[in-house]
Amino acid sequence: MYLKDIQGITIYEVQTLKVLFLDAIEESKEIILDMQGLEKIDIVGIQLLISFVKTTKSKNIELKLQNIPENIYKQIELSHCENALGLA
Amino acid sequence: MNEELEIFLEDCDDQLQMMENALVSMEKASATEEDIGAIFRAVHTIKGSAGMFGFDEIVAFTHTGENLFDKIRQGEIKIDKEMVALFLLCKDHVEKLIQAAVDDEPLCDEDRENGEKLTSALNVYIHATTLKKEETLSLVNSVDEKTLSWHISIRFKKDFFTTGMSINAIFNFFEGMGKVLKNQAVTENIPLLDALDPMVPYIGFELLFLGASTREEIIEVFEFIEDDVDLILFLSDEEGAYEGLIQKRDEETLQTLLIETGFTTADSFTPLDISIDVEKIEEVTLLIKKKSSSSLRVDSNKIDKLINYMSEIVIANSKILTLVSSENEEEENSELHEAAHTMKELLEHVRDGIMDIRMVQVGESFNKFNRIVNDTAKKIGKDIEFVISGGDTELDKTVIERISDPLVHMLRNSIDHGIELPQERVALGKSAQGRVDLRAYPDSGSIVIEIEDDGKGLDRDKILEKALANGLVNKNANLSDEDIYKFIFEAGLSTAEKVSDISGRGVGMDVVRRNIEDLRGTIEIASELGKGSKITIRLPLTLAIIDGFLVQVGETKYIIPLENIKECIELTQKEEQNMGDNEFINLRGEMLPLLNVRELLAEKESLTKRKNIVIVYFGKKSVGLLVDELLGEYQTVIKSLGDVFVNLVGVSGGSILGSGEIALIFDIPRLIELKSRVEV
Repeated sequence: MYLKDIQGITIYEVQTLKVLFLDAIEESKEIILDMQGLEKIDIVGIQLLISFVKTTKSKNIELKLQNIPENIYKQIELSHCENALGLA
Repeated sequence: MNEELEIFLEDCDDQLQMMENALVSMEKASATEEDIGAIFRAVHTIKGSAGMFGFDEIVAFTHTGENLFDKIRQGEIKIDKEMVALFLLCKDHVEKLIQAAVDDEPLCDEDRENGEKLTSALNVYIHATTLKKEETLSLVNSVDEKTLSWHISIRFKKDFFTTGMSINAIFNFFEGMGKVLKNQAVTENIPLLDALDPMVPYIGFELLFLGASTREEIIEVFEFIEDDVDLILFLSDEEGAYEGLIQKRDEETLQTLLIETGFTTADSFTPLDISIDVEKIEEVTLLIKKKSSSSLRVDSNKIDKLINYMSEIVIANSKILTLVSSENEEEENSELHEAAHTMKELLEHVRDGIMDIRMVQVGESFNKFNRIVNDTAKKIGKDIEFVISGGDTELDKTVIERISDPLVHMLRNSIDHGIELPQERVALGKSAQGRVDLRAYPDSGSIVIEIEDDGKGLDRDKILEKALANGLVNKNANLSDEDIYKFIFEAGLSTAEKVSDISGRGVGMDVVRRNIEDLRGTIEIASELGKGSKITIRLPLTLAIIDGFLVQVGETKYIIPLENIKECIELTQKEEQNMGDNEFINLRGEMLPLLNVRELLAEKESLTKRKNIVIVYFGKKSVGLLVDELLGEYQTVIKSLGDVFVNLVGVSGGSILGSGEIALIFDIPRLIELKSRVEV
């Protein structure tokens, strides 16, 4: 399953995204989260992504985070969560 | 404005005030280490706090200032008067930056340009010593004996995400304080998606921080989020500390994580042993505490609400007392009486304790005037010594806030119209430097504030001439000097030969008087031509409560402020006959004007034949208030009557008695003034 066109993974979007991610987990054994065009991320969003990564791992679902914009990657690095997201 | 921003703003105000005090002190005398340290800490704190909120403009500007002040602190640059003046301007600019940031509005072009000029000016000083910096860099990078290795374990409480605070800003701040050797996100507690509440913070962090910071300085970094964070802080080489951390956190994989990521080694942890002394573990593990200072910031609105509730409770209890007394007149149930009286005393203690919270030292406010006097004097070429005394005198916070503007106005008047130019003073045989004193002290249940100068004093004849010209007084009126000086409080009256942008328009002292009277205060002037003037302001300790004397006129109860009462006497029938239609009596050989309250306030005739006179005074004037019954002393909370009754003559507020009745509180200064005008 291909998830794209997400503009923000912040406190404002996390509730909606949680539902989206859960639906994706239900439906597919392979999920690609294309982060091209992602403009904002915060610690709330990073936590959600970590939970997403953990959940897919626990269910043997392959999850790929792709096309991470530089500024978003920087935010993840500043929060020291790149390892937890499998990006390091 | 949310609570965090309010705290930020208040904290910045405090820091900027400390900075200004230190800079003004440096202007007058040479810079001390203490002053330099105070300024550096103030700038550093503002920069850090602004960083937490992402206020980048403030961070950038204060960073430059901090750099320069660090050089001064290290002895690389010697501070001089030009630099002090520059820093004062920088302080003003930081104030504007802070306000713009808090209001979420951009700076105007003028302020922006000004900021750029100030930054350039600061950089001129900084770059002058750049060459030297390279030499010292190696020293900075070498191991410093004072460097400590701190382990900081951070978890967040459930509302942390909703505060909007940036954890990255905290990490950045630590980078500025020292070196973050390790920063590890702890994700063990983040549940799988179906169990996750996205708004709850499960993530945590473990930091290893190297710096010269003290425990208090590290805790201070978290000041704005101290209610939303669970912090464990210890020196990383402290024996048993890591074991204590594991015990406290109770997270299965934390020990493994700390070992694998190099925070510590397996040796730090003893094998699981149920005989481990838990108390010893508690000792070595340190939890975040409130700041070591014994003070706590409280919103003054919360205190006002508390006072209101407490006062209502006191009133309700008075009602209980009244009921207890009336129902048990004959039986006198002593236990019930005693309980009710004990309750009354306890409640009054609590109320007084809460009232005490509102009391702040006037010195905090007075110190702000240093800069104003300094700048005003400089602007008009006068040399003035400004002396503040009695700064530890306490006054209600609301009163202090409301007296601030009137005091500034009077100080400016003193400087502009009172103190002469240095050459004039010398020609008059005075010292070139003038003196302005600002004093505060308690006196008979009030606070007295005096502004005294050794300037030219008030010209009595000129003031009288102007008052006559303005039709404020009849030319045949017999007035004392004090009465004449008081005309300067009339709108439009100024004897200034020219208007400066500081004062002289005749608009201002009338507002000053009104502001003071609205505070139930009084203002008097003493002066001697050629020698100087003194303005004396008397203020009640607090606006909220009144010590009064309860009287009855007709069917209405009134409260007279105790501080205005001289004595009470009975008006005998004989004296009443002697009075006739006159509105005064002979009191021990002196004529005392009487004010008939019943007539003034259209009260009904009393059923009792008894009449009493309560002799009240205000300043040097006395009046006898003709009332029916005297009911005794009464302490109560003043309640405003609201806008509808704002023009009600002679009444300043109301109060609810224990019986549930409302008593009106007399405005004695206004009543006496009313009586005086009628006579004139």
